[in-house]
Amino acid sequence: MVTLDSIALAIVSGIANGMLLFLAAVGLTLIFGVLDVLNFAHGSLYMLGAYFTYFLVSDGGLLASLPGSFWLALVVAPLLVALVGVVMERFIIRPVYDQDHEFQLLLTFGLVLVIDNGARILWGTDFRSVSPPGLIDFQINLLGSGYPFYNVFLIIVGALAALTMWLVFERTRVGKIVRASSQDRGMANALGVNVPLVFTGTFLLGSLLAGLGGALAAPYQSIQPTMGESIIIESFIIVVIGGLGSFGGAFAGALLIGVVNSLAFLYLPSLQPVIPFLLVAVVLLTRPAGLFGKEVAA
Amino acid sequence: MSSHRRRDVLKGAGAIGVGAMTSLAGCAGNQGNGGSGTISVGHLAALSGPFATIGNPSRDGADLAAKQINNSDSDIEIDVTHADTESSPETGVTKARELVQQENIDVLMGFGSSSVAKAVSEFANTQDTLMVTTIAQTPDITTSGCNRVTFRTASNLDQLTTALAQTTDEMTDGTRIAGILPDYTFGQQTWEVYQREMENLGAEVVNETFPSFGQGDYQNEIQETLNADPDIVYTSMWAGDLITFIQQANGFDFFEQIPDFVAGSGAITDVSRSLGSDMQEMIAVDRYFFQYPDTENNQQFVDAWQSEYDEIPVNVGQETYAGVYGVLEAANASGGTSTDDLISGLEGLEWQAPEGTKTMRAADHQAIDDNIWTGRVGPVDDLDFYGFTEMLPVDGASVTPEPDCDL
Amino acid sequence: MSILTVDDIHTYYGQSHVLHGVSLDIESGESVALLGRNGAGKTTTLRSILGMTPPREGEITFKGEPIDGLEPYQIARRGIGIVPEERRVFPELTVGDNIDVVMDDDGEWSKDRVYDVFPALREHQDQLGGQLSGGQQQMLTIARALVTDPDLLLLDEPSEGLAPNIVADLKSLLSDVLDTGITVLLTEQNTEFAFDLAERAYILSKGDVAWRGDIETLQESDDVIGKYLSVGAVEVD
Repeated sequence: MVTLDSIALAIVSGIANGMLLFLAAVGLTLIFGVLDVLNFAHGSLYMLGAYFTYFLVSDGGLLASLPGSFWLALVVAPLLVALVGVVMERFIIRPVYDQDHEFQLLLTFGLVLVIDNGARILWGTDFRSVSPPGLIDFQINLLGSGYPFYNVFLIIVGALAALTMWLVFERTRVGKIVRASSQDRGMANALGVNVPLVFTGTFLLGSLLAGLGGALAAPYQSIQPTMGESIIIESFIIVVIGGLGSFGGAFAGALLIGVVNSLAFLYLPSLQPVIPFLLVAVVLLTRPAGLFGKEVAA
Repeated sequence: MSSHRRRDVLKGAGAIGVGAMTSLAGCAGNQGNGGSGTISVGHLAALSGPFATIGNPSRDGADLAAKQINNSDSDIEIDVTHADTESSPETGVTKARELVQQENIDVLMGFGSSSVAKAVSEFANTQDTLMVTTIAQTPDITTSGCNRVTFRTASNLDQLTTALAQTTDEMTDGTRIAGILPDYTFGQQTWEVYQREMENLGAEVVNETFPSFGQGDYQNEIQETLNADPDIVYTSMWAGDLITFIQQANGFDFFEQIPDFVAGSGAITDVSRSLGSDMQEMIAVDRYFFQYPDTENNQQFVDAWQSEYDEIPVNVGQETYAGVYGVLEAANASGGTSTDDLISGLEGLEWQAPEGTKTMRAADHQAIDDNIWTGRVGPVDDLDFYGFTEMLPVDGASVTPEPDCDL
Repeated sequence: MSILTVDDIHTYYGQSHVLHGVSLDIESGESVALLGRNGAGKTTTLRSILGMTPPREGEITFKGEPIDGLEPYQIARRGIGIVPEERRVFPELTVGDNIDVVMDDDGEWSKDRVYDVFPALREHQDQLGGQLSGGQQQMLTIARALVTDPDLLLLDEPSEGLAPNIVADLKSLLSDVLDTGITVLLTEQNTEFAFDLAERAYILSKGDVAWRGDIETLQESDDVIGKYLSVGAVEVD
């Protein structure tokens, strides 16, 4: 029996899940938009974000004895992931900027194998989990039902991250320089924009957000070396729906997948697993460049 | 050369030393697997990917058993080779073929995933190679899909789930049940059995949802289940999915609202250890929980495991360990190591596993455990993770259906 | 004194050898045209100077220092501004942002100053670059190059694809820019446009310098014009 309340709750749940997907996917689309590299290893960065959080806050972890360790980890873990991202960009991906996309895909796919298996060897295949921080481990009343505040917190953080990024890209000079580089990197370079630095910075930002997504997922999902593999598939779906390289597209795509999944649960549960792929098919048939993509490169 | 004569030769060779024996056995390998003093076990399980949480302990169980046997005065040595099925039936069969045709192994063992187990079982039958399933729970390989070479040394999902339904009935008063089932064969088959048994005991199903494997977000399943207001919620989700589910359900105070939560995967230790204080009380079936039974045999096994791997053993580790010993006992019983010897040795075999006596029913090659471990999971004094606060072992024979197999 | 010296450069696109030893010498403050038919190597010469297609042999010196092997942005920051072929404004940025992103804040050209030279840009400052007309886009690329505060301005076919009346406007605007004393190297198919703006010319043919001299001399050399510049013929590399 589907009531209005249950629809509303499903939508809220879809948005909460969508925000986590957004944080994972936005770096993928940013890096593609600016660097023109499709980074398969982006999901692995998300996985690292979750593991770093676990190792920072679990018993014996670096931050475990500090008050508010989860909150510190929410800052430190993404920074560590960003560091990994910068090293990845500088030393592994940079040498292949001028190579074919196939070559880049093979390379970043190789990175997935190295990072995921590295995690497996270093940390084992046991599942890990992180307790939600006490401060936000409570419920709010949503349409007469108890609803976890942590999920509301996910919505807040995701929305803040999206808003901050939007402001940076629309209002700041640095953001505009990044956009100029993504529109015509050769021209930006020829006009004095340090494009290699823009690339590294973009990779850093994308990795930071993936790390933040992973850190936020730590109290929400079990942590295992393969968690990057499932998130990268969802991320690809989102950025294809939203339009490869489009920041707004990643946001819309993530929320769309989250909410449509949720509504499908109510109305078409048997179709739910294939709904994201159906959405991709519909979008590609009607708007091949994605919801927010440019139809033809300017 | 008959297997018995080969064995005599090797007994004589024993005087020369183990090294010489091994090399002799190596030579003999090409001439078929009859009668050598070494049984080579090809252990196949998912050693990578999300199912590696099953495959790795299984590997450790096989290794520990082989090490103990080879260090003992047993006439028969066990040689274990591992291969990664990557949870794929195709890869499983490919690896099995390599092991059988190139490595000349005598026994295929392991199999975490039911689909891999089914595929390899068919392949093993064509190769006349013994296949011992120690993990996969699907009834199919010992019922409709049974064959001469395929054995299972662990309880299957029919036995485990029936036992769990009985215990649920014993421990709870409610009659309204809801299911949250992983959307693939294992989830559907467990639910079929649990639902049937519970309905026979007078319960009614008020809701069922089928999240997909590795779904990552269960808010909708949680809300829908809460809305149905059940007395009992049953799930056969396991490992990472069950952990994620419990984490998210905690946020909804799900377990405060549901009188009884029942976990039917047959594996609870890994979930309990990962979740720590976020774990919840529940009724569960576990194929093996290291504190049970309180026997010397089990204690020795737990000690050996801890000194070898510096952690406590989990169920699949014990099952594969027991599987290796089952094969050894079969060889001892029949006096040979050819496929026929091992099959005849296994049929009707009774042997001791850490968890108790296992009996291999000849009619369908399905083992019957003395005890199926069911009970209430919660915080226990001497552990830093949840264990059984109340153990209600169910006699395996009482929950084993009549054989349904045409060998 | 020389602001830019290009000494015997050889530039390739992959296996294709495009420039066969081009040499140029530009004095500070002069305005020089680089002429020749399509495919003669004009654009490649500009790309070589800016490091966008680095030469494999030869040397390029700017303000007395070698700039070979530097990244384009490093060369640009030393004082070379580019107005590229086919305009290439940043289509999704506004006119104002197109200028802001490359602005040298300490340079001689402020945003107001370029708006004074190109009033149409001020009028459309909040419009996206991609929505401007061709003439406006060309003004924007010139303004964009100026705000990087260049000592040398490279203009690649500035009149290409523009209507005649727009070309005339552009010419008068560019001569205002030239009056500021900036050094200019421009390539052109439109010889009349080049003759009006430049003092000296190099003519490229098949990737090498075929002729060099004053514009006045060139204007009187019908044979040179006929051989290297006449309209309608396209050089085949």
